[in-house]
Amino acid sequence: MTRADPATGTAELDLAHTDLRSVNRTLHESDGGDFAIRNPQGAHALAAGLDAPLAVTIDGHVGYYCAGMNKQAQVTVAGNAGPGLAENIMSGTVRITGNASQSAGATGHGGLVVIEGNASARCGISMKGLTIVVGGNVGHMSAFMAQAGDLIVLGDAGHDLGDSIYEARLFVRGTVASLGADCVQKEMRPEHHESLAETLATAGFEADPADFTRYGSARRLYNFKVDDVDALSAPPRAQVPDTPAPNAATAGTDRSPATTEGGDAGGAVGGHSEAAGAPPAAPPGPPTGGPRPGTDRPWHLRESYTFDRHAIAEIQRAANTGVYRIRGWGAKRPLPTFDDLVFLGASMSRYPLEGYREACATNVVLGARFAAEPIELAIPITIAGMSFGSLSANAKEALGRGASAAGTSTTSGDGGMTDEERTHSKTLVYQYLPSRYGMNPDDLRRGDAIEVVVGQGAKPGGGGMLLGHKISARVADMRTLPEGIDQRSACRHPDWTGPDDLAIKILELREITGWRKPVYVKVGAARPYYDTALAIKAGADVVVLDGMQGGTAATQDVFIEHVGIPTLAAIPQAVRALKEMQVHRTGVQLVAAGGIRSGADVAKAIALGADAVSIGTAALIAIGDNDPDLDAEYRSRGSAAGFWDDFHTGTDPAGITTQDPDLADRLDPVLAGRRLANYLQVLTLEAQTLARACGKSHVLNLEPEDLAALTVEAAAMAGVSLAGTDWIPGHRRD
Amino acid sequence: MCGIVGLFLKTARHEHELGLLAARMLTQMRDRGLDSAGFAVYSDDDEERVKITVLAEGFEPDWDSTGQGLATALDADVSLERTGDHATFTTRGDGRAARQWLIENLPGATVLSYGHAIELFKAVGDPSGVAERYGLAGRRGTHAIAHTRMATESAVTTNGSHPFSTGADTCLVHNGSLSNYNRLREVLENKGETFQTENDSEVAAGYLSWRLREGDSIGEALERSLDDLDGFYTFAVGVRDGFAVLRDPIACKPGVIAETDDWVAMSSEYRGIAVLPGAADADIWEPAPAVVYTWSRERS
Repeated sequence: MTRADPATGTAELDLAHTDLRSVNRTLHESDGGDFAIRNPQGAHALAAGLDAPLAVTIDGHVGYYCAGMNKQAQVTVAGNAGPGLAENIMSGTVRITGNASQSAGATGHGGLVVIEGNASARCGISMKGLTIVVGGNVGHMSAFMAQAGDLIVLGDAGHDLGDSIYEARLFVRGTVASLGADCVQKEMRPEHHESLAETLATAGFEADPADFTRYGSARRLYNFKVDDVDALSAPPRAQVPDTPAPNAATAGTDRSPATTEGGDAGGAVGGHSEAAGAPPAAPPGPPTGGPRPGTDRPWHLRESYTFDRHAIAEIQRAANTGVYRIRGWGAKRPLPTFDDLVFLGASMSRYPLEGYREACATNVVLGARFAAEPIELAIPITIAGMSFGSLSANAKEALGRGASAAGTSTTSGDGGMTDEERTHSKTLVYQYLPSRYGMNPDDLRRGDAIEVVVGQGAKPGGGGMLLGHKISARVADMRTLPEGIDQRSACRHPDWTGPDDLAIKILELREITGWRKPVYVKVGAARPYYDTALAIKAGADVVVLDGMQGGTAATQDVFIEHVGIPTLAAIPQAVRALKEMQVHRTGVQLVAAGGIRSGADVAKAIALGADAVSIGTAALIAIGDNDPDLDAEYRSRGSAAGFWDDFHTGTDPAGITTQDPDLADRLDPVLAGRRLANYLQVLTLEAQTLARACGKSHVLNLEPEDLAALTVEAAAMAGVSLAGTDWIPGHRRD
Repeated sequence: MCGIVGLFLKTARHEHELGLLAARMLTQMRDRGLDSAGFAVYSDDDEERVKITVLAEGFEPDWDSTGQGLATALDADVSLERTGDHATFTTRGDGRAARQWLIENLPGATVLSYGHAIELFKAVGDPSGVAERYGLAGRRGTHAIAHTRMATESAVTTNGSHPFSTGADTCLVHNGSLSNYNRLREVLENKGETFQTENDSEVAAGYLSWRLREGDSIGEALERSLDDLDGFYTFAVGVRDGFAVLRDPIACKPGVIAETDDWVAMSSEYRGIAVLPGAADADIWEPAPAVVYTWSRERS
C-alpha cells in the first residue's frame, strides 16, 4: 500500500488502509528516502526500530514508543506523542510539533529529540547520552537517574528534576518546581553557553543561553558508603559513628544507605557480609542452631534460637556501621525444597524404561506462541541472567562455552551484552531491564530471545545494584556510568508500568525484531498466579519464574531473606494460571528458577509443570565458586569456602564475581566451560534417570502425580499428595 | 489494569449520540484488556425518581416478586425494565435503601448503581461485545464512563469489572492498582459503606461515596483521596452532573484529556480520543499528577 508522490518522491503510507506491521516493515526494509505516514490515530510503536537515513513525517498524533530505538532516521510527528517517545534512541533526530507524554527520550543513548510543546513526567528518564530539547515545560521526575546527555527546557520544570542524577546536564530557562535528590544548580561556564547555543540552533529554537540555569549531580549519592569493605575488623568503640542524620536533601525518601554518613568514619565495615571479628579459626558454624557435639563449647551453654550467633552478629554489625547489609547469593534460611518431594518409581502399575536403549528425550522448544524463530534447546536447563559487571568477562565466556556444549542457552544480564558472551553462546537470551544499561537495538536483534525482566527471586519489587569496586572502566563504559561509583538500578521500567502497558512494550519489541524473537517475561515469585496470567495476557511467549532461592550479585540481605516465596510453592501457582488460560505445555512455556541444584530438582520442577529450569548459583559453583581449594583465600577475606557470598565486593578469589583483572585471569574460561558442560550433563542424566524410572520417554511427561510429598508443608505448597495418603492439604478434592 | 474512557458533554449537541461515541472510545481501548468491560450512562435525570441497576449473572431471579418486595420495603411504586441479565428498577422511593434492600434480599445478584441519572452495565468479555449486548451505542445521555479490563488480582468475573458505583449517581473507573485497599475497606465498612466484591477499585468508589455523603464536593473528595489512597491510579469519575479525572502523584498509568466547546473526554490513550467528532481541533493534554480535574454542567 505504498504510494509514491511523483512530484516529491515521498512515499506515502496510510494507516487507514495499511496495518502497523506493513508500515514498519516497509520502513525497516528501506535504506533511504522520504516517507509520509497518514492517519496514525494514536498507533503504537510507529516507526520504531529504524536504522537507515530515512526522513519520515507522521501526520497526526501517535501512541506509545513512536520512533523507539531510532538510529539514523529523521522522524517528524505533526501532532502529540504518547508515552516513551523515541525511547532508547541511538542516533538521528525525532521531532514532534505538539506535546509528548511521559518518559519521552527514556534511556536514549544518542541523537536528538525535539519536543516543540510540553513533555510530561519523567522526560529523559535514565537518559544515556542523547540530547532532548523541550520548547515548553517538562513534568515531574524528569531526568530521573539521568546518566549522560543534555536535557534543555525552554519553559519550566516540574517537581524533583534530576532525582538521583548521574552525569547528565540539565538546562532550564524557566522555573524549577523542585530539585530531586542529589541534583543541584551549577555554574554556567563558557563551554556550556557555547554547546547550549549550538544545540538550540540545531533544534530550531531562538533563545539566549544566558537565560538558562544549569543543573547537575552533586555526586553525593555516588557511594553507598560501603567503600571500606576490605577492612574486616569492626571499628574500635571510640570510632563508632554517630547515628546517621537524615540527609536534608533527601528527607522523607528511602535512601538510608546512600545518605548516611556512618560508613565514612573509622574504617567501618559498611556492607560487609559476615560478623565483625577476626577470620574464623575453624570453619564457621552453621547459620543457626545451638552448640553441637564436637564443637569446643561446653554442653551446658545454650544458644538462643531467637538471638542466635548470626542475629547477634548482625545487630552488632548494624550498630557499628549504620549501614544495611548487602551481599550476594540467594536466600540462606531453611526453606521447603524439592528435597521434600520423592518420585513414585514404576513397578507393577507402571512400567519403567531401560537405562540406555530406551530413549528419554530432553529437548524443549521455547517461544513458539508468537515468535517466528522459537528457541530449541537440547536440554530443559538454561543458564539464568547474570550481568557482565557482576561477573567477569571470563565467567560469562565460561557460561557460554558450557551452555553451548550442552545445547542450551545463556542469558545476558543487567549490564548489556558482551561480544565474548555472544560469541561463545550458541543461544543467547537478551535481557531487557529497567536500567536499560547497554541496551541497544543491534544487541536486541543479535539476541536469540528477549527476556523482559520485571523482577527476580532474590528481590521481587527491588532493583539491581553494583557496587563501585566492580564498576571498572569497561563496565562503566557499557553502562554509561562514571567509573567506581555505586550503581543502583530502578525497580520499575522507565517507560511502562503494569501489564496493560507491558502489552504495548512487547508489541514494540516485536515490531523492532520483526516478530522473529521469542519474548520471555521474568518475574520474581511473589504472586505467581496473577503474574503468570498477566504475562500471558500481555503477550509473553515464555514466563520465567524465579523463586526466592534465586541468587543475586548484590542486594540488601533483608530483601534476599524476607521477600518472595520458595520455588516449590511458586511453580504450582504459575501452572494453575497456565492451565486456566489453556496454554500449559501448548502455547506458553514456564521456566522455573531458584535453588535448582541437581537432576532431581530439575525433574521435580518439570513434574510440577515447568517446561524448563534455569540455574545461576549452581552454574557459578560448577565453574569454580566456593572451591574448597581456595579456602585459605576465602578466609583471608573473612569468609570460608562454602560460605562465600560477598559477590558485591569484587574480591572473588575464584575470579568469577570480580572485575579485578588479576583475579579474573584466574578463571580459565575453557576449563570452567567444560566443568559447566559436565555439570549440565549430570543434571540431564539424573533427570532422565528419574523420568525413565517413572516410565517416561520424555522428561516433559513427568507429572505431579509421579510425586509424593514427605512433609505436610511440601504437600500443601507443591499440591502433591502427602506420601502414603491421598491428602493434599489446602486443596479441594474434586 | 485496564483501558478507561469518559465522555462528558458540555452542550446538548451530541446528547443523541453519546452512547455511540462512548462505544467507539471503548472499542479503541480493547487492547488494554479483554477480560471484561462495563459502562455507565447518565441520562434522563429526574429528581422525582431513582433508577437502580442490578445484575443477576448466571441465574434468573423472580424479578416481579423482587420488585414487589422492593416496593413494599420502600413503600413506593417500583417498575422494572430488563436488559439481558441486567434489570433496572425505577421508583420514587429512597435509592440508597433500595440498594441495601436488594443486596440483602437478592442473594447472588449485584446492585450495580442507583441514582437519578445513572445506569450501569457490565459483563465478562470483549468490550465491543459488551457494548453491543447492552446497547451502549443506542443510548443518549449527558455523560458516560466506560472501562475494559485486564484482571489483575481479582478474578475474571463480571463482578471484577468496572465501573464501580456504591453511592448515588457516583461511579468510578480505575487504571492501576491500589496497595492499601484491604484496610481501607474495613474503615469504610465501619462508616456504613457496603461492598459487593473483593476489588480494589470498588473500595475507591466506596471512598468517594462516603466523602460525598459527608458533604464533600467530588473535587474535595478526590483531593482527600490523595492522602487516603495508596498505590497507582488514574481515575475517571462520574457524578450526577459532573465528571472528574485524577492521577496519583507518581502518575505512571496513562491518561489523555481532550476538550472542545461541546465535550470533554478522557481516555487511557489518544486512540480513544481520535474517534470523537472534532478531536483534531480539541485541546489535548495529559492530566498532571495529583491534580484533580472536574467539570460540571447545569442540570437542564
